[in-house]
Amino acid sequence: MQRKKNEMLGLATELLGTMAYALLILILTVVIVR
Amino acid sequence: MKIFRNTVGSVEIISYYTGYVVLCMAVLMLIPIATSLIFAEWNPLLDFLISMAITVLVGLGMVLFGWRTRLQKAHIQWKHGFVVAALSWLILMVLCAIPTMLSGNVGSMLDACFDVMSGFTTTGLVLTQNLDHLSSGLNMWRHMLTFIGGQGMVVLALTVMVKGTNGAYKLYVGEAKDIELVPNVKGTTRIIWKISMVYLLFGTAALWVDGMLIGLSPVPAFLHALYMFESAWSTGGFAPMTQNIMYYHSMSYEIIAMVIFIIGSFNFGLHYAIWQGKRKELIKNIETQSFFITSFLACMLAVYGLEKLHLYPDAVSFFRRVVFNVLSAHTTTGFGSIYARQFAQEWGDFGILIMVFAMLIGGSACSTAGGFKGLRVGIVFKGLMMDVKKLLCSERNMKVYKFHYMKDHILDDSLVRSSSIIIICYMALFGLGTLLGTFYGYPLASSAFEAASVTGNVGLSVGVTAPGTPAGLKIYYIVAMYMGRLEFLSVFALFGYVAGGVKKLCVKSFRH
Repeated sequence: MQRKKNEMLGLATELLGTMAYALLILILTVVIVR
Repeated sequence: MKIFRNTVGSVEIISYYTGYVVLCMAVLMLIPIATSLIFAEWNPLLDFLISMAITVLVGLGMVLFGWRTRLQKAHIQWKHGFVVAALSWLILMVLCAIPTMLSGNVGSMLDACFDVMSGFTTTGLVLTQNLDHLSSGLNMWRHMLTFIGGQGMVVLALTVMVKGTNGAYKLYVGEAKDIELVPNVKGTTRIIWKISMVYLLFGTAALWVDGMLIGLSPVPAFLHALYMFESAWSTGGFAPMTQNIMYYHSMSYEIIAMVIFIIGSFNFGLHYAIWQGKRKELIKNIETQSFFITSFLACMLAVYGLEKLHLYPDAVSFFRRVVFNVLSAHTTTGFGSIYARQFAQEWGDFGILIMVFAMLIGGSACSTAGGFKGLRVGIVFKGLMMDVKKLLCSERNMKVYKFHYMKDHILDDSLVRSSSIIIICYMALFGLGTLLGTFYGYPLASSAFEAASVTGNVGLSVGVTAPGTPAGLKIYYIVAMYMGRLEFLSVFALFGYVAGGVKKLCVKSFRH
């Protein structure tokens, strides 16, 4: 059970971390282009 | 050259294990066969049946030739592992090109081999013509090849191997995947497949739903989602349509693909560590640090540089056209959200150079990505810092320098040296490709872009790669993709082995 929980949290960390990185770049792109 | 002595035993061992990998690939041909059956595509079905028969015959022949390996439980050595990996990729390139050749969508067998090597190495450059009207069977096959190539053919063979081999690790390392997630190789390869399969489910589902929301009907939406996932996860770059990701005209589709290919470019060891609960690894790991720093700099520099040219009207367009392509290049994916010629005609030398640097650096070691990898960039950078610090410190001051890569490692000179050698090899391959491109009359910037694309297994193009490209350049690109993917060592081992065999034959005939 703990293993499954860790796996799901790991998956979420990777997905959210990558999306946060993409969002950061999007925000900075908006700043540069403006 | 003594270590590559071509004894009968070695040939049999290599033949046995290579045959095994070939047979695994023959079994996988059942998937496009099933696809062709479902969609009632009779000609492609026949193509795959013929190809499967030839592949089974070759594989069986090789296994039977080396059958004594099994009977005598011959001990596999490092040289065998490297040669099996390098040889399997070459033999499979030819065998897997047969369905593409028989389909009539390529001009020659060389073009078919180019496409297959491009798929296996997760490059994504295409010479197949009339891409928009390919059969579902052939599309399934192309994207499957890139997905399997990303995981590694030997990894696949080891995953399904019923009995563990005594030298499995030596086979596994030959394919440039040297990380041990669990103490046994079979367990490690199964974890690699498990991680990919979990993402396959999530990624395909996300792209499927998004595909239907942007107007595709359910069945094509599913097939497109599956193909695009396989391509993105493997950092491949193949797409079912000529327009690549531009076909979908959707920012949401591009963002989902972007997230998949960024995660796909991470080390399988990193996925495993995070899934084991070590979530801080995402920030602490030298490789992710290196990737986030270099890709961030590349994106910002490209946006800043191209903004001066007023190429795109707003920030969202810059994100979709510039950031997407830079990240696609850096992760060595090769999805293009602009047309190939636009790079050459609109982006200017600065934009092209940023892309070349990004493509050469690439993704993570032991991932599906190419390039000389963030790990090596990080190690060489830390090595440089170490040398500078040593110069500035007192001679009596002894300090141990470390870096974090799954666990803390001591940064020693041998590690910096081996990383530097691989980077030099990549640069030499890139330099030769650029030189050859200019020799055939292409402009310097275009030649460099295309050479970086093949060396780093990226797949973006400025239009040099086309059915009309000179055969010499196509062959060089095949070699560059192959060497770049296997990270040189296995290919050099194969060369050494063959050269050793030829030398022995020459000496023998000379004596007679």
